[in-house]
Amino acid sequence: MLAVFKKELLTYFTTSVGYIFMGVFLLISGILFTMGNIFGMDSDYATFLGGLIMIFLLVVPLLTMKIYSEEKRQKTDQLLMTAPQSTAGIVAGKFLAAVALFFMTLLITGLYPLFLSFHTRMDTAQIMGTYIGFFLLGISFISIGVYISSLTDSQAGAAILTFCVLIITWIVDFIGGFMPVSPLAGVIFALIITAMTAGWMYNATKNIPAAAIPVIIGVIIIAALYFINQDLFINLIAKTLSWFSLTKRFTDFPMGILKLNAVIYYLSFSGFFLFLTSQRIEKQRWS
Amino acid sequence: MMKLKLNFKARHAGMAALMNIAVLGGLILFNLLFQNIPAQWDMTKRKLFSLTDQTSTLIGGLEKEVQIYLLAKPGQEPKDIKEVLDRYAGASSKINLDVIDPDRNPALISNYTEEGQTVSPGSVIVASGAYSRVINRMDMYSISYSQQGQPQILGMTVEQRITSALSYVSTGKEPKIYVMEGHNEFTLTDLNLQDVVSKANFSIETLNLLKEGSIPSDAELVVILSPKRDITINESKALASYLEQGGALFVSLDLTGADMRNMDSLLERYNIIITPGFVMEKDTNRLLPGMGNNPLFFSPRLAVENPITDSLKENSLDTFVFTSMALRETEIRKRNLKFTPLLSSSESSWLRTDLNNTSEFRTADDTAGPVTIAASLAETNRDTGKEDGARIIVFASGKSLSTLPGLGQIKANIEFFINSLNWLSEQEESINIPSKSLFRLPLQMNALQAWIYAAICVLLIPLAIIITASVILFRRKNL
Repeated sequence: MLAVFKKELLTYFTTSVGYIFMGVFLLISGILFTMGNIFGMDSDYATFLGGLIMIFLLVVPLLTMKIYSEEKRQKTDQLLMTAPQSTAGIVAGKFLAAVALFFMTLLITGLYPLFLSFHTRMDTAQIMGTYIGFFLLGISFISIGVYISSLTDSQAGAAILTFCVLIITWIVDFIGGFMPVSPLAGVIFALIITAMTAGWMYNATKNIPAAAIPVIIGVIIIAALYFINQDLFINLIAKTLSWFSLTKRFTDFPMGILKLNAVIYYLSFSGFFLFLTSQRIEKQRWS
Repeated sequence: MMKLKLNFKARHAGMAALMNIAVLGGLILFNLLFQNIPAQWDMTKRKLFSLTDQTSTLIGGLEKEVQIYLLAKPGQEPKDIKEVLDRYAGASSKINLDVIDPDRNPALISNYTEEGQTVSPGSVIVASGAYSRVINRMDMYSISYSQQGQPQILGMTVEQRITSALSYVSTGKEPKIYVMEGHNEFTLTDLNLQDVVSKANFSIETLNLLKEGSIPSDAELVVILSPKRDITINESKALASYLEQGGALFVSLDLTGADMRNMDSLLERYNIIITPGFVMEKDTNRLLPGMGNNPLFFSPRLAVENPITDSLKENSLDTFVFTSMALRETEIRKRNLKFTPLLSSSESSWLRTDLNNTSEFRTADDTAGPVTIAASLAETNRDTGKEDGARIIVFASGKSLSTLPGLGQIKANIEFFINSLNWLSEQEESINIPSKSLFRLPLQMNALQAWIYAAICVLLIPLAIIITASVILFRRKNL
């Protein structure tokens, strides 16, 4: 893992990718910081940092687009597969290299609150909390990017797809507010999820009975829950979207609240996408 | 019939898909498990999202179930209010919190509101048994209005309001205050205080002592706001006998020139002497440049460690007084009466009793400061040593509670008044919960410094990256 990590991190600095990522992110954040906090005479740094996520979302695809797609295009992925490295180790190394670059960039933005602290009293603990939140949300975004990069051998495709997915995760909360709230809509939503699972299973196995298993289990669970407590299905769509939302949990951090369950959610979210990535790579061994 | 017979590839794919589902399910369960563990850290400097000890004590003593409703569409809850409410719900199993959509539950809400009353989203209903209280969203913030009428949020008063409502609904106790009339006093409505006082859990009645003859037995405290004429001997007697039985009195007074001997003698029985005149302040830190450093208009010093002024101190709220008279303790004192100055002027102030003297500076006739402007008085029981006798607060600048020209109503003065009422009615638990300031210090930066920082952030840092990149990439190209 360490070898992959070192090699990847070095690649960021020996090619233009790392510099473009850092340069673009720091330029835009510098402009926003100057306009908002310095010339706006505003000492509220946590809110500025919260707003910076949007910029980060734009540059994440730059960071992750080539992680696997480039290996695939150059066929070096086959070298990796035969290297004395576990798939999980390779995925973790590549992911951590991207995270390290992101972390360095964040460290540089640490200059901003330092400047402000010369001229007013800052709420240090709250700013640290926001940074922790930003970092956790950032690694979740990166894990999505890493996974998407493993799906395609086109860098541009990976970048565009990552960008679209991140935008969707960004607005998913907002969409939830417009969804129907009736229990019936909730049931239909649960059935659609079950159908999608079945579709995925069928796509993987091309076998109808294998796909039927999740349908049967899903329908039984939905029916049982519906008869036990119908209220569970009220507003189910919005509740589910909001529960999975990455951004909703982030809003606590700039307010100054550090919640253990948010930290765990971000870590498991990243963990799941890294797991999917390693599954994806592993697939090449048997397909 | 189809069989679940899979070839090598499909078997692997099926296993992989199942494993993905299992991992996803496992992670969701794991997160749901942690969802209900209220482990969190409040990182705000002013502990905006933590409950004070007073609230914890009150919650610990709850005997009845309390229901709190936050009225908001799902997903659109005001987060700052919801966070504080979550702390309440987490602190006791007796408190149940529900977020309800006001558009979907009009019937439920109408149980708690009066006919025609509309409740804005983000408001909170606290209910227990037959008692309930509706707290409007805007009442959970302390808001000040600029001279242009622009509202500005200065602080959060969620805990203050919710604890006060909890205390009310769990005990049903709503102290009755009687506001005296008949001497050209201000009414609470004149001072814009009616609403504030009723939100602080008081039920308000007016009292014409000449007609009634005595103070009603359910009076928790009597309020006299800037009488322009003296009270009669009979009224003075009625008030004295009420105080003897452990009553509580808030008196605000202004310089009127009227003979107030009956009021004076009533207060003198409790070691308090009012000196007509006005206090002039010269300490520029206490004057307002916006008012031309007018020495009659200043911010008095607050008492050290006192339940009435502590919340003002904690939030750096400044009270302001205007043409204040002076208070002092009598030379010969009854020992069981404890006189505590609450607001006083500085050493560079003086009291002017010669009203025809127009000098802006201290003259020989003036009495040197500091001068007490407001004081509390508590009577201790000689036998038990407890402070359970009469309680009095005198404020020698009654006008300062009203709207001041050019400044509007001073928030700290209102808080001082409400804290006084709470102390007088012995509701200490609601006194010490201060509104939590959201105020941020502005940046003290000159234009040159701002430009230097701008240059560093917008030019220097990105340039440094571009130069490093160019050098490294150029060297690699020419290896």
